Amino acid sequence: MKNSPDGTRVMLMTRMASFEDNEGKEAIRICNYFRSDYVCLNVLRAVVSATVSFFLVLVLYVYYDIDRLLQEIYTMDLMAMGRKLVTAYVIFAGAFGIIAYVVYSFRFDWAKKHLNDYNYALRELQNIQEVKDNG
Amino acid sequence: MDNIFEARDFIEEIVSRYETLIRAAVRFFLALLALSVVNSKLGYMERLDSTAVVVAVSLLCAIMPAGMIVFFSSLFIILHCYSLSLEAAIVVLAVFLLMFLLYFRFTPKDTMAVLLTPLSYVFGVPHIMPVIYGLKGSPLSALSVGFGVIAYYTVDFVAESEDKIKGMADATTVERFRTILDGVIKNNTMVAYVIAFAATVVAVSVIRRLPIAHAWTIAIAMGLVVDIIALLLLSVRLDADISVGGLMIGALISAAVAFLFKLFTFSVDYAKTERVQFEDDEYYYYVKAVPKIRSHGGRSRSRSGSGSGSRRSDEDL
Repeated sequence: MKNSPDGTRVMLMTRMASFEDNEGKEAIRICNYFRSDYVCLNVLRAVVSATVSFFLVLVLYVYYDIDRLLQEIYTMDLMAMGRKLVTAYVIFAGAFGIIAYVVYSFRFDWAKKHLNDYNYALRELQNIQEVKDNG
Repeated sequence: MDNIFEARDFIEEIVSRYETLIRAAVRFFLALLALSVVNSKLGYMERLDSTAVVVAVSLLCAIMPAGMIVFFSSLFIILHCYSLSLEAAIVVLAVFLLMFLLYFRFTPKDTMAVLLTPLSYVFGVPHIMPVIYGLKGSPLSALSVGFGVIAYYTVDFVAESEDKIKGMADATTVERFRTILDGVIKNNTMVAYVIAFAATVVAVSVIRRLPIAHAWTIAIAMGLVVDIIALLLLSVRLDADISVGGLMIGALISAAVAFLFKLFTFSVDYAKTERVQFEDDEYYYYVKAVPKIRSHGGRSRSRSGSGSGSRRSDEDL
């Protein structure tokens, strides 16, 4: 069975079905995108996550220190504080975006490699089928 | 030793045969354990603190992805905290949200660390977590375990401060919020554990990848040494509340558990039996691919090319 064309065909189909059921789900989903689209979309999501996190921490900080902030609000240099906040946000979101870029580029390359192996098995299966049909 | 190998082979065979059922049972008992621990530690909301609710949610978790156990445990924690005080719920919700947004969104597979690390604290073997995550994960798992430590100490603070929080009925919302946030953030013991566990995960992960004999065993031993030294140094530096005796006993128990874990998990490949279904022009195929198992004299397994197939024609269906 193992060395017969039918055996090889069943084994190939089994491996491919197993791939589709397991890591293939993620790989196929990822490879539905172009590389640039997939990476950009996820970088965008990461920046949104970073933005929500930044403002969550900011709200917690303001609420925590609200007494002092209310007392000092008239003597504060609000422009300087605003600049500091914007700088901190840009650095935080930027760093997060760069990390996301690296992580998702790596994931796309991983998925592409696995899908190439899958496509190779598909071609092999097609060849076996053609030989069987012709002969 | 032969008995251990036999037990291992037996477990391996059972896991291979009833994989789907065992997974569901593990998820059920893990959910039951986690929710019971949350209820016993917090338990402020009477509606949630009931066996029927815990069993019902655990049954639900058994048929859902493992991540749902973390979701329901977090939900229970937040609702209990809400019953105690709105401010406590806000702080806990913020901590969980930040963990999810900044890290676990990218590594959903590591989410279980947030559940398992606090459970390991409850059972008195927290030192086991950085070792296991170092063995099975990457150096990045240091973040997962670190977040697990933060989750434990956040919940622990709320549970320990119940009387204090209830006693602040006359205080303003801001004062209550400040007290809780201070308690959660300014916890030197938590900081010491986060740093020490992160160092342990990195050490174990790096050593077990080295091309040396007995890399896994050395990784476990060195990991625990790094853990102990880091905690001792940090307890002095940060004035953290860490008992030296407890640390040593905990590390010894963790070493024993780690070696057992290595024996049962890392010496074998619990490659699961796969059932796949596909079709061509003539047949539907229902294939059960069973991993090859050889006895422990020369153990090795392989999934490739080991399918025990069966096929049925349209008429058979």
